[in-house]
Amino acid sequence: MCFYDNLVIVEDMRKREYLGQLELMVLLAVIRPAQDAYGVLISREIAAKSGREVALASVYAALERLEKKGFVNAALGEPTAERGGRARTYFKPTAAGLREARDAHRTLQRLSSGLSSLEGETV
Amino acid sequence: MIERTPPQLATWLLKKCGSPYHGDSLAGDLIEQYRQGGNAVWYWKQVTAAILIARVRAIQTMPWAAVHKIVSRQLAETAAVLALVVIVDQARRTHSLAEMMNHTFGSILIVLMAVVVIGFLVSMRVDKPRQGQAAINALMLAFGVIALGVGTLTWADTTRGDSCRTPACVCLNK
Repeated sequence: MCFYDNLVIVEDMRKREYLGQLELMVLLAVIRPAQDAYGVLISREIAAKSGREVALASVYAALERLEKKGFVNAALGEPTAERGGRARTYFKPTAAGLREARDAHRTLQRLSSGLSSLEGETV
Repeated sequence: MIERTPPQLATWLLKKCGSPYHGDSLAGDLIEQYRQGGNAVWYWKQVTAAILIARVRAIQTMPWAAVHKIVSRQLAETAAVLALVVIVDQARRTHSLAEMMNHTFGSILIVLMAVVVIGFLVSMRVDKPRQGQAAINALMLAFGVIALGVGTLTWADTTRGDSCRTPACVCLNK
C-alpha cells in the first residue's frame, strides 16, 4: 500500500462518520420497536439483547451523536405524571440512519463469515 | 397509590450539572424506571454517570476552545509571576528608582506585561459568557502585580537606607 492509498483512506474516514459500537446498538434499538422508541425502551432493548446494562445517560449521549450525524430524528411527547411531569423524547431512524445500519450490518456479516473461532464458545 | 419519589438531591444535581441534550427527558426516564422498581443506589449511579458523561461531552465538543482558554490563561499567569520576579530581582540589585529603570529592565517588563494583557484578552474572547469574571480576574491580577511591585520597591528602598550605613555602601555612594 503506497502513501497515496493511505491518504485516500484517511480522507474517506474524515468525510464519512463511522458508527461506534454503542451508537450502532442504539441505532438498531431505535429501528427495532414497532412503537416510537424512547430512552427507557432503548436501554431495555440493549440490555435484553446484549446482556449488559447501559447507563441511560450513555444512551442519550449516543442518541445526541446519532442525531448530529442525521441518523435519527427526535420529537417531544406529552408530559406525564408517572415521569414527574416530564415529557418523553421519541426517536425515529432517518433514511440515512437505516442505510448506515444496513451497511454496518452487511460489513460485519462479511467480516465475520467463515471465522471458525467465532462459532464456538471457546477461542 | 402513593408514587415513590427518587432522591431529590440527585434529581437537583442532574438538573444543574447534567447534559442539556434532552435533559428533561433523561430525568423523566430515570424517574419512570425508579418508580417501576429502581432503588436509590441505582438512581444515584445513573445520575453520577449522567453528570460525568455530560462533563466529558462538554470538553469533547469544544476541545480547541477549552485548550485555547487554558493555555492563554496559563501563559498570562506565568508572565505575571515572571514580571513580579523581574521587579523583585531588579529592586534587590539596584539602590535607587532611577537606577532600576534601565533600558533592559523596561523592555523585559513591557514584553511580560504585553503577554499578560494579550493572554487575558484571548481567554476573555474564548470564554464570552464569562467576560465579566475574566475582566475582574485581570484587574485583580494587575492590582496584585502593581501592589507587590510597589511593596517590593518600598522594602528595597528601606533596606537600602539601613544597609547603607556599612562602610562599603558609604564608599559606593561617594
